Amino acid sequence: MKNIFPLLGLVFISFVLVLVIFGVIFTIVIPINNLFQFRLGNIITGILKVSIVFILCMIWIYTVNGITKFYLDNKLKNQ
Amino acid sequence: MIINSYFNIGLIISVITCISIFICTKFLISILWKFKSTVLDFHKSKKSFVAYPGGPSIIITIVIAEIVLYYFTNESKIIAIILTTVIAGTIGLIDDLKNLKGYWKPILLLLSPIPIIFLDAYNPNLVFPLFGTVRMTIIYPLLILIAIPITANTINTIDVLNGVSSGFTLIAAIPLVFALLLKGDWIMVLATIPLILTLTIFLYYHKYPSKIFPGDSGTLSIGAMYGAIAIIGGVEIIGVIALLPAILNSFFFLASVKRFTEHKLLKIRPTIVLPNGIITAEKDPRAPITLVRLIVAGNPSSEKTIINDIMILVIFSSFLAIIVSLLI
Repeated sequence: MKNIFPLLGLVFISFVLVLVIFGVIFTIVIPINNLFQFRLGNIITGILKVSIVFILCMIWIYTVNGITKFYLDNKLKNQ
Repeated sequence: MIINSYFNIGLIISVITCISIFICTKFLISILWKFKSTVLDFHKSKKSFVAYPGGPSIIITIVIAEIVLYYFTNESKIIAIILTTVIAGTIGLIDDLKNLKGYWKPILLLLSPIPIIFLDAYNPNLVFPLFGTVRMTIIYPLLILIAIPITANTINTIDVLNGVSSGFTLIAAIPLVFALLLKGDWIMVLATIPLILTLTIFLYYHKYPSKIFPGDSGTLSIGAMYGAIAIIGGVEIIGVIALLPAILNSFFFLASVKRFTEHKLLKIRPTIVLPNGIITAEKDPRAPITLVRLIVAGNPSSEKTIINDIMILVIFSSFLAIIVSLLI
């Protein structure tokens, strides 16, 4: 029961991140149309979209992973 | 008049589900003991064996109840739910009997969402609170293809202690029903009843101390059915939020182990069971990170306390999911 509040906090942080990051990915990044007028503009837009989605997913992964590792290391030191 | 007829259909499938799961599970436990199909319960100080797998009773009950629902409603969505559940359950049953390698399960589970795509039982509009709606005609079927294996594996990975997988999914199904009621999608509300009642009665046998374990056949079928209901009902975001503690558990495991593998094949287990039955966290940094390891880190606890903590986490995430369903 002692660890439940930090874990509730972790669930809440990942909830906020899921809403914000996946909201941005699905409603802003994916619907973007061709940004450029020149030939191959579609491909460059596609690469840009994939890169932004990848970076946003990495932000989620590293944030949640970082918090978890910091929490676990602290707890195991005191065990 | 319409609500009255929905109420009658709901009543019929509720009675069928309750009778079927009760008889099937009781019968299955005696059959499994007769054929010595049991497994060791790792988290008990005394050596105790439990009947395994209970998945067939879950799959049979869900199929019977959903077929009855299809008879009354004639909706192809119901067929998509039945097929998705049966395919995932069959893959789980093969794993229970033959022990598939870690990577085979997610690969084979890619087959389970195919009925949803081919029967066109989905709505490609995704609704995000505060951000609005987006229509994804091309990407959405691809998302379905990975979403069902993810939900099925997520429920499979959380099945670590007595009653956790069934209790967890039962609580996480409440926000789904709430969101479907808000949408006024009565057919999908009715389609969720067999899942909720099956889990409620199965939990009676699965709760601490367990008389039966669902096995991969049980966890994969309920996970796939949960995902199918969320996708077909158009309440995907609600489903993701309600399942967050289980999703985090799978994520921690994959991020620390860095490959698809079975828990039983791990060289270093995430937790240690002390002779007095208390569960403590493994200190070895190479041990995988799991939700249970995080709960007992610096706080050795009994199995019952850990189960209660996991239930508190899913109640919290379900509460967040209900708030989000009010904002959509």
